Amino acid sequence: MKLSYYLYITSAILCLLYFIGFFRNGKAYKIFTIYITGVLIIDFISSRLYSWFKIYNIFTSHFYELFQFVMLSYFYATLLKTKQQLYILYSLLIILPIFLLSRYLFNPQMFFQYSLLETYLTTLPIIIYGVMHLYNNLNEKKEFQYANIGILLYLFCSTFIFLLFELKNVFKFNEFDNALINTNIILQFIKFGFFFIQWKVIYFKKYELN
Amino acid sequence: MNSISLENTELIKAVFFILLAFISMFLILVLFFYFSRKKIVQIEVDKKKLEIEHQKQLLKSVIVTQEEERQRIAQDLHDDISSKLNVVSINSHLLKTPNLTKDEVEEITNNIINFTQNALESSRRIAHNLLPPVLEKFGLNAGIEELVEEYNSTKKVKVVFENTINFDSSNIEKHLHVFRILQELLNNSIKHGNATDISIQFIKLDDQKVCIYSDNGLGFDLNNTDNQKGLGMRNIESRISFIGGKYSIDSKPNGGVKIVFNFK
Repeated sequence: MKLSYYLYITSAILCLLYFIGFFRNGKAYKIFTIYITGVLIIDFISSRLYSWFKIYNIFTSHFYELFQFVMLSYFYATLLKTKQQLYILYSLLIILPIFLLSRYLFNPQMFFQYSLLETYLTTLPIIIYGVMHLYNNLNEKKEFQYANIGILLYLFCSTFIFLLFELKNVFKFNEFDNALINTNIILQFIKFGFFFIQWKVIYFKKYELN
Repeated sequence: MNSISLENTELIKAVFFILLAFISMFLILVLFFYFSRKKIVQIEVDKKKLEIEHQKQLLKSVIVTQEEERQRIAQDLHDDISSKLNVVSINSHLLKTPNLTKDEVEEITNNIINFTQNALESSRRIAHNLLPPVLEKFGLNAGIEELVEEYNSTKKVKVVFENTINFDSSNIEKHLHVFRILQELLNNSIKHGNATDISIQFIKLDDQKVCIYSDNGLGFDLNNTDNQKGLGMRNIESRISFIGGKYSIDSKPNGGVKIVFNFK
């Protein structure tokens, strides 16, 4: 519990830092700032939901994943360059949310279950965009390279953690619980580390220009 | 029974997605490495192509300069020497005319003497322009001193020359390149830059000789590649590469030009 509190504090500090240069920077920076702030809010609310309203937070994962997918898609839309990459990105950005939302429309009960398919479908495209961005960066100036590495690293590992979590639920290995949760938190710290480096790079570069 | 089968489907589902995730991540990685390799090779190829293109441009500029130089020499010979020798020849023929008075003979011989002297002077000047004898006889330092003096004598420009290096006379070929570079730079400063103050400085850094050239002329925008890629600049560039040196240009509009190059 304590570890996750530190995580919220770190995340909040990071959001504040990113808000410092909010109006000075470009679109990608703004979207990224909104993304980390949104994730913090969703995470915090979902963790407090039971103690505040006695509501189980299982359905918030849908918000979290969809929000992450949409925001990071927009984020990469500003970074990716070639027409093909953007074509893939925008078509997935339209098709995937419609598909996922229509599932809940036809089967509302699914809304209160954790969905492996959703996790898989919302994170894989982001990983692909991240890799595309890495590929584009090979010979060009490196925009958001640390943020990209942070996102990639976290999504790579967290996808497996969420899937393993489901496997653990099936086998009812409850002692496994803490290990997975803590690994996830440590991975988030690493992710924030990368985001912090990214902020530093952008902030001091701007500072030098002024 | 029912719960066991439900558990089984859940298990199969979880395992399936883990497997799917593994396979897709693996595929992404493989594709990434494949395309990256391709791109890196392409970047290398492009770089080499650019280098070759640059070399070609240098070679072309050398040929163009050679051709221009030939034209200039031909013109000098034609204008200065041929025309004067022509006059001499006509005057000599005139001497053959019968019944010339003494005064007439005197005038014609004077003409011949004057024009031959002029032609001699011109031929000396042309030879001097092609390769200053001072450079060959007394080395680079004296050559540049003479060059600077020539420019200073026009009173339009003040050139300051400082040298702390003792140039080795065995390296005359390299020194000729340095001399030509300075000639071109001075020419550019006055012709394009309208400079009135020019400084040439030679210093020794480690085992490298460094030349620092600066003027107070109009300068140019470094971001505009047209300025840098004129024939004169290309010539300077190829000469610097001949003497195994590197160079850097610093300039801004109305801020003069500073060029630093090194050689061994």
